[in-house]
Amino acid sequence: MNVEGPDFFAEPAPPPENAPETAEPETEPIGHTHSGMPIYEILGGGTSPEGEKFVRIKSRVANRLPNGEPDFRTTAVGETHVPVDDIPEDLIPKQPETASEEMTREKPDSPEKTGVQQVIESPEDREQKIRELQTPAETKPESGQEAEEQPVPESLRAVREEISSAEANLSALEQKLTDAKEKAKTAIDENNFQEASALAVEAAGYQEEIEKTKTSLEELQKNETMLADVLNPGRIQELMEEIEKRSADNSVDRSRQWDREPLGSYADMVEEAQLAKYLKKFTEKYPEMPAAIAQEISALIDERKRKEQRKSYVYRGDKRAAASIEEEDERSPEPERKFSPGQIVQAMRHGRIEQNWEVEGYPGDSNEYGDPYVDLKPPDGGLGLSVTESLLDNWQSYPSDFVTTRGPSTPTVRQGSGPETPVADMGTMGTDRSVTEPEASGGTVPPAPEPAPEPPVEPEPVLEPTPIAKSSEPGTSKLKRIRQGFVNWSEGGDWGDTETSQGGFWGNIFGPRESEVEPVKGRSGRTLRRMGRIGRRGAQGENGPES
Amino acid sequence: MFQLDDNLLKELGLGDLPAAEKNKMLAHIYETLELRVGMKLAEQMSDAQLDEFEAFIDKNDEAGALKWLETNFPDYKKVVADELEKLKSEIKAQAPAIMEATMAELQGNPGN
Repeated sequence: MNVEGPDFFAEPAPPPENAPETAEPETEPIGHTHSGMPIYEILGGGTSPEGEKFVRIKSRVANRLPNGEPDFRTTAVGETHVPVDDIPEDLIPKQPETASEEMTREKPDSPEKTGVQQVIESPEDREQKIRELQTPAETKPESGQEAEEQPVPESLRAVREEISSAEANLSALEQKLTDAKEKAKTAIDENNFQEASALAVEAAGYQEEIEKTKTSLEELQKNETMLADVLNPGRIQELMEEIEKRSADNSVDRSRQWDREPLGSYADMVEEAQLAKYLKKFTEKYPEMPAAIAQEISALIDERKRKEQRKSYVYRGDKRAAASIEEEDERSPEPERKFSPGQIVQAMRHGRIEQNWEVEGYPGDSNEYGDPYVDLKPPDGGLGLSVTESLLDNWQSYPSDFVTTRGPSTPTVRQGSGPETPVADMGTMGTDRSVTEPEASGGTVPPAPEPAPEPPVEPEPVLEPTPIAKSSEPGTSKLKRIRQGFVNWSEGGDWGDTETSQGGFWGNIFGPRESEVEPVKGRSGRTLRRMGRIGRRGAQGENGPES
Repeated sequence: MFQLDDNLLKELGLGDLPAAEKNKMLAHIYETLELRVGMKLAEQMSDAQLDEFEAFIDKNDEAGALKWLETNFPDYKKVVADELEKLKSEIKAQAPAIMEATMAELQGNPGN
């Protein structure tokens, strides 16, 4: 065991001269990561070139195939890196102040000074260590500074400066507008209509500028709120705990929950936590960009809400309203993407994701149920993974051969003989606005949940889960259902999606339909399929007219 | 050359699906394969090539489109074969769940 104390703050330190050789791992691990990986030994720590703090541990890692690719079918004990927050607190050694202090304090020969636990001086020290490890690099206080004296992070300060500037600008514009109006009024009183007209035009210009500035200010304030949460790990923890509590409460009778209680506040909270988690990752890694990221995510969230609203219309049979949203989306320009897949890889590189895996998707992308995701594909064309944000911190513990979902597959319920309706997956990070934000539009199902101060009334007709929902045990977590293999491997709606032309509850196991697929180089799914049909027919030796 | 037929479904572990479900499954396989091949080809084409290829398709000139493809992307058959293999792997992994779910669905909804 390395009792010299790994450096968790800076570049990986070279092992001390007299450090013992790394021993063979014991049969029993000394602990497990939060994501379930066994820990045989903590070897040290460091900070990646991208600024990400990691811990080097001995754990079980995949063997390599002859071609160098990981072979997840077999594992062996080896070194791997995991994020610091994946390591249980009681396994993180204390950081010594200086090497000399450490040398005077440590007694390697002492039998009670062996093992990681013994180098931790006190619980207070350990808590301080954890706090420091979880603090984004840019917010880490200088040596000697008290935690309470942490400087405002540069990114947050920049946003606040922008807000101050915008507020000052807004105030000045409002004053100009007031002045122009007063002058115009005076001009009218003096029958100087020419000047009054000119002042009216001037005032209109100020008014327009004021509206723009207000919009900009609102965006900035939104960013500030998100950033402040991101930089406050306690807030994220608070949100997560509340979500877990609410999820546990709801798990008692999830099938009815959506029908009785307005879930807006819950959904907002979940969304906030999702955003906060995303922003936290990127703030730590790209401290100069969080404001831009926040803006991009905000835009994507808006886009997501429109999609969810469209789905809610579809479920309620209001095709006209759904079509209206589609038309609006088609007219809107595609949101600009600022972050490359490579940056995503950097942000998510832990566990089994190899650096050379191809990534599709961008931060902030989300499926129609609101879960962010990225697709990860190995270069050899083997089975890939679609990783949702809510899975990221857990997926290391998954069996290697499973194929996850691109997003949560929401279990469905059938209401009488009506169409199937998704149930909000309260056990996960997902938000299903199709359930939480239905709007009255003459649809038939499901009834719009309204704020109900009255005691809940037994809904009619009684909701019954579909067979597939039974198979996947409604009420179990999304993660569990994924492990059970009941979740679609890719986006495309629910089991039992009644929108599919082919029908069948397995209708979506193959991924998005041609009407759902993202355009490639501006070509729609329909065009892409027609192109593919040419190739398929050519490969099959067909060349006749299309059937 | 490959065939998307009953033998393929048997190979994938779906040979015991009812006939109607087999047809649906094959339709899905066709659609998915064509969509994925189209996406892969489009990714590899330049904008100019896409325009040329698309022009044949817009005119419903399948023979012309195929000839263009063979001239400009002689390895397109490999793209199709690769995508088919990937698709088969995915379906194989899901086959037991598909069978179980299909049977449960049919038993629960005999009218289907």
